[in-house]
Amino acid sequence: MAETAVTGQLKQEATTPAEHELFVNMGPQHPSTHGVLRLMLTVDGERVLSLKPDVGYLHRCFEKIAERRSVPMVVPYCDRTDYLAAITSEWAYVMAAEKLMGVEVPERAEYIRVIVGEMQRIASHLLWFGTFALDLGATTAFLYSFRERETLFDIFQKLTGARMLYNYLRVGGVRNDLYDGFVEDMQRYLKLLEEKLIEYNNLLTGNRIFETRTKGVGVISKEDALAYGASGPVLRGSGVPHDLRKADPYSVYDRFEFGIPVGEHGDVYSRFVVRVQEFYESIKIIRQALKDLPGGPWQGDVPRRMKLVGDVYTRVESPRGEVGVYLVGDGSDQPYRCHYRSPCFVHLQLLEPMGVGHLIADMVAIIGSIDIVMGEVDR
Amino acid sequence: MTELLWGAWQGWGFGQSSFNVVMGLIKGLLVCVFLAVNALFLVYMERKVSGYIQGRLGPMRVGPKGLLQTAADALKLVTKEDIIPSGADVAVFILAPLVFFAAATAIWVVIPFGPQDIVQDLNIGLIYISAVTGLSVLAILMAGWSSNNKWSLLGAMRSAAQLVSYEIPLVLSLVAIGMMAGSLRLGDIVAAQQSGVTSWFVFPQILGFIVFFTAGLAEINRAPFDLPEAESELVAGYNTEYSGFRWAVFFLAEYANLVAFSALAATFFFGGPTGPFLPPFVWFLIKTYFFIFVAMWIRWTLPRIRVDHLMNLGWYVLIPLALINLGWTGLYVVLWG
Amino acid sequence: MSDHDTTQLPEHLQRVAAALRDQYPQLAVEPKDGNWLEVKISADQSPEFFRYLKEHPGLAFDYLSDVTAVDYLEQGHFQVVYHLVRIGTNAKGRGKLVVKIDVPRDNPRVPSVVDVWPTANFLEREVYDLMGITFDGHPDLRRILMREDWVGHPLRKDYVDQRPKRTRVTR
Repeated sequence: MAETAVTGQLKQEATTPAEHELFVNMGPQHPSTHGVLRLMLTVDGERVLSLKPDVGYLHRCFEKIAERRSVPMVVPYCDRTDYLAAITSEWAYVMAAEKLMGVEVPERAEYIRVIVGEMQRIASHLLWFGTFALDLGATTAFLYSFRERETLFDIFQKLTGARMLYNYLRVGGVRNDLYDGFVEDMQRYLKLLEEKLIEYNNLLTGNRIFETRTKGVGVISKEDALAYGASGPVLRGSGVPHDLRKADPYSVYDRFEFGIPVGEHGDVYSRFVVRVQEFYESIKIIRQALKDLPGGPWQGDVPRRMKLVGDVYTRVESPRGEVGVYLVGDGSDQPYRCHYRSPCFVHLQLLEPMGVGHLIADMVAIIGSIDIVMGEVDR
Repeated sequence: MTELLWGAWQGWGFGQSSFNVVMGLIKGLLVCVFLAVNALFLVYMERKVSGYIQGRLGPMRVGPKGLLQTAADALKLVTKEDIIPSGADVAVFILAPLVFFAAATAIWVVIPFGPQDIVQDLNIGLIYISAVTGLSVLAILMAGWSSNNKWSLLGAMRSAAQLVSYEIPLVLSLVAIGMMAGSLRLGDIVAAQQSGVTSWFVFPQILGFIVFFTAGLAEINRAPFDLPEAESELVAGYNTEYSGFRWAVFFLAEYANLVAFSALAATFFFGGPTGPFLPPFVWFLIKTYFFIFVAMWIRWTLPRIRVDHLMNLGWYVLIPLALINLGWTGLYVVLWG
Repeated sequence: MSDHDTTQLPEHLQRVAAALRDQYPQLAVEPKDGNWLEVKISADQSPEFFRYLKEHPGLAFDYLSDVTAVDYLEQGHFQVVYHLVRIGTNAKGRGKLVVKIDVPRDNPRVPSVVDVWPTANFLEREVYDLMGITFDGHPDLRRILMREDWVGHPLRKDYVDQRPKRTRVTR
């Protein structure tokens, strides 16, 4: 690889640390960096002195690919950005395309979107719960949460045909209606989940080792969280009650009663508590949506020849934070420009203020608490 | 049994000292076989126990109920390519697993399988144990340093840091045992607990037992104290660069350590191989496997403790507890002993 | 819409527009879908304008949601797009702001806003990497997603893949 001035300087910094310092590459092959995140650490013993994230190992330039595809063909690519919360990535894109084409979404479709969106939030948080516990060395919690996640995926599979990458939202609605018995399946599942959540809490939340490892670790203040563009549970963990579903309601979220869980201290534990409470809020939303589910079509009228005109920025609250899509159309059926604002990419900047001064073991907890998905960071 | 052999040996015209050597070899071999069989079984047991704790089945495919899974894994490990990293310190790299294994086996010299069945009932048994257990840290340091890998080095350093914080409470709890029995010999310690459950040391020594169990888990690097090889933090810690047979030796020795720790807990606090009806060896196995099960239970339940918290636990909690226990034991021995 | 025509703006957004006009009387403020306001500024206004947006009490845009850029090849310029929102109580009714800056294609330079919002660090690096727009004053302007020795900026419309052709092994 050709050596530019910048890489040369970086290598210089990397290879000549001071006497008591050690330069360590944490990742891209490391069990706890959730994929291929690479952290360039300088450590003194185990204490992190400086930290630089390096990303791009999964980059495939989704934004360029989108420019060469017609509007509906982009949706499957959106799935593969945040592959653990495919619905919300689809949602942001589909909403942008609908706004540029002026398509109305029928009410039933909006309700279905809310339901699958919140199901996706539960599924994503279940995976986060498991991997976060695994990062801290609690293997059993990982398998417990995966068990419930698989049960939820069974419902997803019955509904959409896929377990992770659904390609379910369409411009103007959703691909297919709910199947017969979906409501019963879902209610049974929510009941099961509520029972299991108590079990999870017993396993981790009150545990002394768990609390000493998470409390006071990776603290980020309210002001810093805002300045560094944190969103989602990370921002709420720092005590800012900001949730796009309330602050800038899209779809039909303004019709549901739900709370915004907020943490107090901005540490790993606060983020943990916020996410665990979000399970309950999502359950609440799904219950209400299932109760009020209107009839009617699930797919709106979409012109056969799709034309995108103008530009729009839509934001969606994904399990990880604020997903934004900036879509520009030039009158053809292909996006002229499609930018995907990924919360994890922005959150990576937080690693430095959070992690410097902590131990390597804490770094693992901090990365876990941000809930990073590298597919979304690199796109 | 020993008398029979001794007679035959004399018949062949050899002396006492050579007989001792040969007997030592035979006993050592038996211990090694015992450890190997145990390790094979423990791997299976660990998987099954973790499986049941986590709501799944564990290995089911190889052999009936997956019984041959461990054998298949052992075969795989032995036939793997032997990799030594090019930057490694070859001699130390090769030696480290052997030292680790030697340390794990050496403890078994003084562990009583039955009231009389001790490989060598040293009169300084307790001191010997505390000396030998420290040796495994040396092996871990050797492995970590010679691998020439930063993660390995960090794991080795953690192990050394762990040593200073847990070895002292461990030894202090052993001292109390010595005071109770009035002897450092493990045979005497077992003999002192021979008269039923009430004579078990765990009742007067409940504090000592807590200290011993906690510090002991840390000593054998079991979760939640598996810091030197914390796989989610340090990749695999000191054995990151080890693979195939060498890794298997580490693995085997770790299970040997687990058995030794459980056997010691049973010997010091629960009367060792003594018990009614069943032969002593069976009681020994029952008690040992109970503690093995408890250790597994703990491993699959708790998250990993952080390295500085382990130090705090050692210095601020375990050592004061062990000292209190020591004072209490003195009082107990003077008043009722 | 002409420069000074603000009567079409909804009531609650007019206050934002008025606060903007205090400092920048020539500014064209346009409403957009979903409570957004759009303004266009020139590159040399940039850091002061953004600092004003953040620090003026009537505006107080404390949250930079996104920085991106679009290549308008036929019009002959890039457009850097900033999306600003407020987070706090009563933020819902006060509108959000899109700021657009046109930069020429032959020498695309924009002042960096990293010292106003630290978020911009990675976002600007991404724009630099994929679109090739230089952000003056950025503390660490390196490629972030592409390899550091990559040639060209893939999101430009006239980007040509410089990699050697690979023979296809499958059809």
